[in-house]
Amino acid sequence: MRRFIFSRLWQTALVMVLVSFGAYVLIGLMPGDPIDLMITANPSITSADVARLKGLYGLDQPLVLRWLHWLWSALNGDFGYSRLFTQPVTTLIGPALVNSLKLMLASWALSLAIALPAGIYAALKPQSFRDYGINLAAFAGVSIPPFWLGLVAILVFAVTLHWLPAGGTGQLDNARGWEGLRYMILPVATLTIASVGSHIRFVRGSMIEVMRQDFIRTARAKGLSERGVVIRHALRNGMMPVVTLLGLEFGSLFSGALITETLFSWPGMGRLIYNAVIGSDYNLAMAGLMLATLVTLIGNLLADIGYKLLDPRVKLS
Amino acid sequence: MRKLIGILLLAWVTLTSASIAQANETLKIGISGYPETLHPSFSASAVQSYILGFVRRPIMVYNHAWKIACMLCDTVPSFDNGLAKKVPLANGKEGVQLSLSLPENAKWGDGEPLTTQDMAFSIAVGQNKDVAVADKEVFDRIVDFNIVDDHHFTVTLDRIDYSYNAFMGVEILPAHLEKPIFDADPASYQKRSLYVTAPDTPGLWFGPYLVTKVITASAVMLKENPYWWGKKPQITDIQLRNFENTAALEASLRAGEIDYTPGEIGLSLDKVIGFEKRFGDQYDITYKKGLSYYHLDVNSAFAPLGDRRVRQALLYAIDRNEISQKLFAGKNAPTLDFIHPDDPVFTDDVLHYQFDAKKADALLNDAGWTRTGKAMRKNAAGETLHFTLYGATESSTGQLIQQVLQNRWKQAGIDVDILNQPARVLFGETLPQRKFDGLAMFGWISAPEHLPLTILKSDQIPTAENQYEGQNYTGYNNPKVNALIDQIELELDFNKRIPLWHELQKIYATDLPALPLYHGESGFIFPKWLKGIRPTGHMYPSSLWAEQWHRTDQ
Repeated sequence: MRRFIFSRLWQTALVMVLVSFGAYVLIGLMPGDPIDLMITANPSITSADVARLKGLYGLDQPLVLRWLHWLWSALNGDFGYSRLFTQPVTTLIGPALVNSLKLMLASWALSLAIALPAGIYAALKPQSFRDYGINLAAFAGVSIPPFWLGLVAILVFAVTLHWLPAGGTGQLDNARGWEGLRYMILPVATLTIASVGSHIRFVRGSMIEVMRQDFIRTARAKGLSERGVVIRHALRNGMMPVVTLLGLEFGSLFSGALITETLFSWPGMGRLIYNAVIGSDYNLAMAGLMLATLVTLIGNLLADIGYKLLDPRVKLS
Repeated sequence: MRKLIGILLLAWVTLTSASIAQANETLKIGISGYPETLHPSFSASAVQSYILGFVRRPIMVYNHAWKIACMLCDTVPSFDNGLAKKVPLANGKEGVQLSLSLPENAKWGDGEPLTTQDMAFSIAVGQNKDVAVADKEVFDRIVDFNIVDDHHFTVTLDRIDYSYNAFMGVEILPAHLEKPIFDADPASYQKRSLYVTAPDTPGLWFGPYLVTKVITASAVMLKENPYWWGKKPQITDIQLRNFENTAALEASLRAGEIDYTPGEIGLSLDKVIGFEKRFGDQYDITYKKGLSYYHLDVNSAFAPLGDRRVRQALLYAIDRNEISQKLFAGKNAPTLDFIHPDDPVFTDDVLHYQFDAKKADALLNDAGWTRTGKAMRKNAAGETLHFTLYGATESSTGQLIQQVLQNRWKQAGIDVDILNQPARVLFGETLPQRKFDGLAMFGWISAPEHLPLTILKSDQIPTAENQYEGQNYTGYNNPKVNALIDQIELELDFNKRIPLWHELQKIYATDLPALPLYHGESGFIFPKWLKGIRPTGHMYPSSLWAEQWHRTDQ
């Protein structure tokens, strides 16, 4: 196990360097740097100003040199300053990460809390009325665009009923406790509805597959109660694909949800990374993307370890 | 159970009412955008100008009548009032010396007096070669600065031109707070300034309001400045909240979470028009024509469009009133040329292009582009009259306009393809490298009496040889226009400049290096209880007069 983890960490480091190069070059290859855009918006800007600003932002250097410089600084713990917000990147990422985690963890937990029992419940009687009902709800959740759902939620609960705030985190009004939680309800509900459908489908599919296995028949034959069969035998095996899904989704907890964050004016990682990429804010974009990559890779590593814990037959090599 | 539900509902309503009551004590403004920095010397975006308008004042501005006016100084210098005089420079040329004064009772937000020492420091920062101020040229023009006393100074500029007395662009900084930080290391000052590290420091500001809290990319909170020496503002607290999504901004307005959205940086015009149709009776909504000049740049290097008759025909063939009526509910009315109708140098005595299919037909026939029946026009060589209409993918309104234009030109026998590119491709590559084989639709923002030197002069045509310097993307080359621009630049007498400007506009409207569409209007959505906001239409935002704003419900 230790050897496996060490090997995976080594691979993770290599992937991080490759991804950083790919991301840096792709952002850099997009036509039009921030100074080019400034020129079009401001007819009075002089060429001397343009050259001076490009020099100051290092935009006159070859892309690979810029990447090497960034990499060296990052390895030394210096992720630089954000050009868009004139602040250290770490200062910006900290609060955004906390905000995204709050939102994503809450919706993730809520989604699993709904999907696990609903998926299992549906899988126990496939093609039954309750299975159709749960499937219908799951498909509805998957099919409704979060953007539309969020807007409808705002219109109903904020605009019409005035029950909940339309957006923001409440930080501006020093909202704490219950007041603070009120700001989370609509975005969390939107994200949960958007993700719960696919989680239910996944759990259901996996459980149906497991329930057909011989060892389930054996468990029943030896006189175990249906509850015991499901919880002690089926669930543990049925969770293997779900763990894969959770491992893949782990990264999204830290990279935020762009559409929901934008719609609810929630200052999280999704908005931050998007704005950084669009605004050619290399330092901020790179730090955000690297964080998301790292967390996704760690999530996959954790999923692999999870397999081993769930099924001792799995060999990590 | 019913009791429990009743108690829960009551608690909910109480909590909700409490938050609404709290909201009413503060003016909450919804904006769409957030500035790179609150440091006034770095960056110069519309959203930054809007926010800073509440908390500081420029030395001079264009007022509501689009005239230069003092805000921090006493009197606008001129040769007539003796506060401006011509002086010889060390390089043998002639410069201009301006005498200016600051209010004697002016103070920073921490009670420290605002003096000429602050002005000297601000100029030192701007002129330092290691500092990336937004508009370096303003500082490069300053060849001498002298402190007369704490409130009077003179500044000498390196040349005399038509805007000799518009001392704009130098933003005053608090030397007592920022000088030690700057002196420690000018190169990293931009990152270490208190404007960046502690923007809620009261001594950084000197407007009717102070910044009290900043949530990066989300919000800025303002409170009345106890040391403000001007008219006391009636509204004591202001919140500026950033909404990156206009639907969310609109919903928050309807939900009562924000009170007002300004036209300068709020909802787009189509959104305001839609909002007015649905909720216009509940709000005061006004529109103001701004300085964004939307037009179609014509690449004259593309053979058919190099012919003036074809360009004129293109403009006759489209119905810009139809665009205004159908897409903007009568707003964004057609403009004659690049000069804003409110600009003192504007004239309407130029060639007008009302929709006229017959004139377009005659001009195109005259230019050798004829058609048979409803077929596309061809020239003698059998080539079809065809070009591409470029635009930015981000502009949904622009795409609607493109479709209307394409349809009208098709009716005139002109084959047009639409090609939209992301803004950074269009503005970063296609336009500067003149890669557009036809027309490009976009807008640029100017200033009152702004000389289109970089846009119309022939030495500003970007080429590979000059590293794509200049913004004359159309490749327009008219010696008469070059001469007129030089004449206007050097003419100091406003009354003598007027005929020159008129001449320039006449040539522009006849030659059509670009096809004018409209000067963009902005929509302001006020609650009925908020009065005193006066949009300017130019780059100096309404927030610069925020102390005039008042509520009628208290």
